[in-house]
Amino acid sequence: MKKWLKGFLVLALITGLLAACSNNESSGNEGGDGGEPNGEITIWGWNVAAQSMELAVEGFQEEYPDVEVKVEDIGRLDVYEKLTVGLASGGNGLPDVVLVESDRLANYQNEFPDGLLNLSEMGYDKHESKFGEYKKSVTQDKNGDFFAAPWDIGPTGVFYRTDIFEEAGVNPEDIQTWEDYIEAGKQIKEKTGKKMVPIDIAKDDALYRMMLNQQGTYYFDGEGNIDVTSDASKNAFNVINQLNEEGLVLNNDGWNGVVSATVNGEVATVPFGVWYTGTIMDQAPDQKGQWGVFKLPAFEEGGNRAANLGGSDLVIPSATDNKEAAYAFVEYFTTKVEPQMTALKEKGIFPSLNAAYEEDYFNQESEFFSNQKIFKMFAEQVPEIPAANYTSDYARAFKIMSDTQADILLNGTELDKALKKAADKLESDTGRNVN
Amino acid sequence: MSQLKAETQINGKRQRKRWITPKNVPYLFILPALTFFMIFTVYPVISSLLLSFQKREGGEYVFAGLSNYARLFQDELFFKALGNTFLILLIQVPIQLFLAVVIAVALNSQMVKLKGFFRVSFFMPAITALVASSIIFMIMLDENYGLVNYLLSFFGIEPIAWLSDPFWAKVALMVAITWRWTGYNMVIFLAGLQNIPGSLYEAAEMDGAGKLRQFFYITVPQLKPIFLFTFVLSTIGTLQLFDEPYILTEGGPNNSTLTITLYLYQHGFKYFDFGYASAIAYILVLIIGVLSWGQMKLAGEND
Repeated sequence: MKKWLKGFLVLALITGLLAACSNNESSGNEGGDGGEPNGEITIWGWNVAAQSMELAVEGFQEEYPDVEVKVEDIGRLDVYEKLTVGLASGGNGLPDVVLVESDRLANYQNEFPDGLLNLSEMGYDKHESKFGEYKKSVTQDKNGDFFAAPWDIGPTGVFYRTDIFEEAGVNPEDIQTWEDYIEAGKQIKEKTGKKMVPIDIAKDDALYRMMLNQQGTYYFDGEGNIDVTSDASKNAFNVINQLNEEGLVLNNDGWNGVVSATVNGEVATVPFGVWYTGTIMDQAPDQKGQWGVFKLPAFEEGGNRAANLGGSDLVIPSATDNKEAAYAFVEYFTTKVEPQMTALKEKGIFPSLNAAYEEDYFNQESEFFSNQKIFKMFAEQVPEIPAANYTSDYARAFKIMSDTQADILLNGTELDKALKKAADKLESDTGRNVN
Repeated sequence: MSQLKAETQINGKRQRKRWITPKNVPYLFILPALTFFMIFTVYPVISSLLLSFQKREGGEYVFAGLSNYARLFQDELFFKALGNTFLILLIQVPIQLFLAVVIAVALNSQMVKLKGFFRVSFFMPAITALVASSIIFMIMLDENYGLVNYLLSFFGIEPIAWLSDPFWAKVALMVAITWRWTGYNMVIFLAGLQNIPGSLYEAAEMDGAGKLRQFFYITVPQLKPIFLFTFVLSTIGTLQLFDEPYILTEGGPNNSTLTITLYLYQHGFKYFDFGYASAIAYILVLIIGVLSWGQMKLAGEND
């Protein structure tokens, strides 16, 4: 216990010290009081997202030549840890712009209501019509004000191996419902011995989440009540459970396990967000032309096949001392088409800005994915993605439902009982009502 | 000693006022350590105690009485974490200490060559970077591509889900901890062994006692205080177990490797529920306090 607390305090102290330093540093160039934004801003992000922002700096400076932008690529979890500590200490040591995943936004917004800058007050409302319903639902607060600027989105699809499907004699176009999907899985297993889908059973309920979103619900409903015992939730686990009972699930440990299974050809399909295209192309360049994508199967004939998984947005901590420059960058980066297309082409990050979908790039065929117009397929889904209420208890619910998935698939606990238990646990942990 | 005293007395007469006197100098020596102790230990201990009676509502901490503690006693998962921790304590610690003694005795005997090499090899795990070693364990124990399952396949053993089966994940975790801490305990036992007078063994040999008899009737009883010491250390270490389950299994699958400290961490840093996390911390302090008191009492009776 002492160790933990010590670590926490040291961290807080260091961030405090750093904050003191950076405050002094930037006090000289406090910009933006009238006139054009100027000065220096710092941005936190990670991985390809940070690289995309780096790529956008040049174009941004053409419009705002007086603003220096420093993008810091720190790890995803480090960003969250530092953001938590920074907001908890009243904004000490935070940069001017931070990248946050959509499903985590509500958590920060709720815990630190004054910690994030209200973008609507800066004039972001004029861009409201440029984004789809789903993206607005995660970046606006109860009053319809933007506390985050929508950036990338993760429309989902089922990535499949064309050669394995061919060998088994399965036509992907015939897979309309999850029932069809299970049948196809059985046939593929029988003919080729391959399993249908990789799942990190103990740690990630991604498939379940896609299925919930697809049916217009999530862990919590629109009012924030616990909704894991809903019919949609039962339907979802029913399908996953059936897949498992038929021996079609390859249980993987962690993200790396799922990627290895994909690359080694041990599974015929991988249902994931659009961002997985980048991973496949990157990790299995020799499988060019052997991959294809189809939309998530529906729960009933003709039902919704659009869902979202992942995606992220930009926030500005209220403590920033240069909000004009920070806002200028956020506005440029999320509402101009050019940075969207650079991020998509160079880093495979899918934009949520509607205007971007008009670009010719979306009509191009992808050689890697058997000459399918994959980006068009994903873009078409975006307006149909149902809203999701992640709430401030997302992290808790995610953990509890991943445990529940393990409980059902690995321990063989009966579905209704496991979901009831999960709902009870969520109720006692969060104080929310159960539907 | 007396000379020194005389000198300082003379010095005292010569100068009227001195800030550093022989009387306060020990306090000045411990002042830096004390300051850090106050800032980094006493202050957090007190503030987390206060925090454990609070909860966060709409971004503000409000007094919540004993509600965190009340919730704790109805929290199934907390008891599961407690159960897991004690299971590890009851199974892993004895195995680890037994192995440590056996290796220590072997390395202390005259028959083994290259002693230095073996001692270093066994101690090495204790000083390797924990994250690195846990990740290597993770790679080796992977169900589908791991080295361990590959080797087992030569003996016709089906792949074992080391990290994703509730039972085997516990086993894997215990193996990883044992690997890391056996060498550390071995060194402590080695030091203890070297304090056992050789004459005891000579006498036993003359009386015709075999090696095994010597081990059980001389070595083990002589090592009793060392056993107690390592047992106390291992107990506290196990109750605070965090790093291995955090990296190896994240407490999964389905919380079968969840430990108390990991549960505490989840509530504090993943769910921002610092009040509840502090309550868990205080219950843990209570448990360690009671166990340590018991063990010390045991030691007091024996010595």
